[in-house]
Amino acid sequence: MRSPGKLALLAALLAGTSLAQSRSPSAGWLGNLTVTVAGTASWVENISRTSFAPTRKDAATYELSLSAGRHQQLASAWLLHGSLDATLLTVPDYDLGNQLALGPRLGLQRKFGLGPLAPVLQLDTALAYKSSRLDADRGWTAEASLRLGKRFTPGLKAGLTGQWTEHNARSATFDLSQHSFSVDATWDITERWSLSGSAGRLSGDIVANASWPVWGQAIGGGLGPEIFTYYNSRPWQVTDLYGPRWVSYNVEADVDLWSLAATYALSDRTTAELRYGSAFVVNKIGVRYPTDSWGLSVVHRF
Amino acid sequence: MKSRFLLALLVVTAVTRIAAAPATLTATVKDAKGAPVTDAVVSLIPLEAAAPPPAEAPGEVAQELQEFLPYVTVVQAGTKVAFPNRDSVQHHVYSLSKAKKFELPLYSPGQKESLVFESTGLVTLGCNIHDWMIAYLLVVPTPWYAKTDAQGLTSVTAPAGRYRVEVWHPRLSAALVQEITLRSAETLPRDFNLTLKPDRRIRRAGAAKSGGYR
Repeated sequence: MRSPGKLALLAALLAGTSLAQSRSPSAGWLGNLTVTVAGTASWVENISRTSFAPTRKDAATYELSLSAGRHQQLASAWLLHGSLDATLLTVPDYDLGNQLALGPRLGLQRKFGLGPLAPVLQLDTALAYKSSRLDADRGWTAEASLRLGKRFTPGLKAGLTGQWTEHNARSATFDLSQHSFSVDATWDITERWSLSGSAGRLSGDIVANASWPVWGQAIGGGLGPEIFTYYNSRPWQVTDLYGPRWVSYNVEADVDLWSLAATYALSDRTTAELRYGSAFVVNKIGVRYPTDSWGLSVVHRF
Repeated sequence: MKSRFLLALLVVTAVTRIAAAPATLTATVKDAKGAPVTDAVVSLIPLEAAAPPPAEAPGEVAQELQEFLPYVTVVQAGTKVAFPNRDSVQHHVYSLSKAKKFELPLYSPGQKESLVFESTGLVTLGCNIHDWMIAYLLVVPTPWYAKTDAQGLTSVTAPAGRYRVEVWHPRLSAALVQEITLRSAETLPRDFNLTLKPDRRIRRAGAAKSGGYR
């Protein structure tokens, strides 16, 4: 429900892409295009992001994403990336959670020196329209991130990332304004096996869910005055996302995130990855929503 | 009288050398486990006379499918080497090696720059956009060199004489050096056993799926 006026930066970077094209007519658009497709099957515990443990819902999710992009060197140390990304997410058990997101992504990369060990600073911006089966969640998402990456040995690299996300949905319940900081590292153990991990903290708005009996108590004062006051100050609505009369509500929260992934390179272009991710959400008044997920992905670059 | 005799001796020696049939060193290169080593460079550096200047034929290290081809190139000092971009994407070819430092930024498909490599030594090539791209250009002071094939075999044909044999490979800490004498029309077989370091190349494998949270 917020104005999408903060996307001027994206427009400026898009203009930069056009400029870059005119500088290098010999680099054919199609020839330079890299298409990447990824399929992921996940099992998510507490997909409903519910605080009351007996009512938590687990579910399998399936995601297919497609990205077509290219890069253009603007100057010796500057590289521009542009892509069009599409992601389809399906949750067969709770199909109101199905969604399709589509939009452009643009990044500018500065490398400080020559060679694989030179540090790289990368600014990424993305804009996507999310077409969710749940009408209230439809809307535009803007993202910007700044990442400083460094390879320490041929097999070990790490990075620091700061990210900002804004989702402007049809309903205020699904509006999100988040920022996060994370560190990540990848270790190529052998020619084919890699291990990667990340840890970080996200702060901002989170959409949580509750069954009607629990929610009724919360907003009726049955769970204490602090919950009564806070939850009545936040946007919420009945969405039936995880069952009849289930409520989605928006809270401010801090999320501790970490993940661990083992990746196997099937070829130079194809990788398979097993990932465990954990998100421990604590909202502004101390209510907790732990979420864990296991995912198996296959990524192929054409 | 003495000087005439010396001149005649030199002419005879030179004519004898020209007339002498060349000799061949056949090299078999294996690693510590006995497996054949491909892309090992065997070069013969003459110890008794100066090596002739490089032939006109230039060398070439191309960029194709986001790799350098070939992985190992060997040229004589003073040779011109072309770096054609036969890829569909830009590259940024560079070398930080003492033997030749250079950069070819904004290097678009279809471009073909050439450089002359005057100093002997190893030139490690990289691409500043695609970190996994690496190749080696060994600049040697002799026209008599060859690379081993997949069976670890190669042969070098050179005039008869005394030579320093240098065997080099990207995974070798220092070149293996031996002295040999090649006799006219002789085929001299030699086995070389190398202790190679682990292959520490940056892996090219595709990007993994990134996580996310909403």
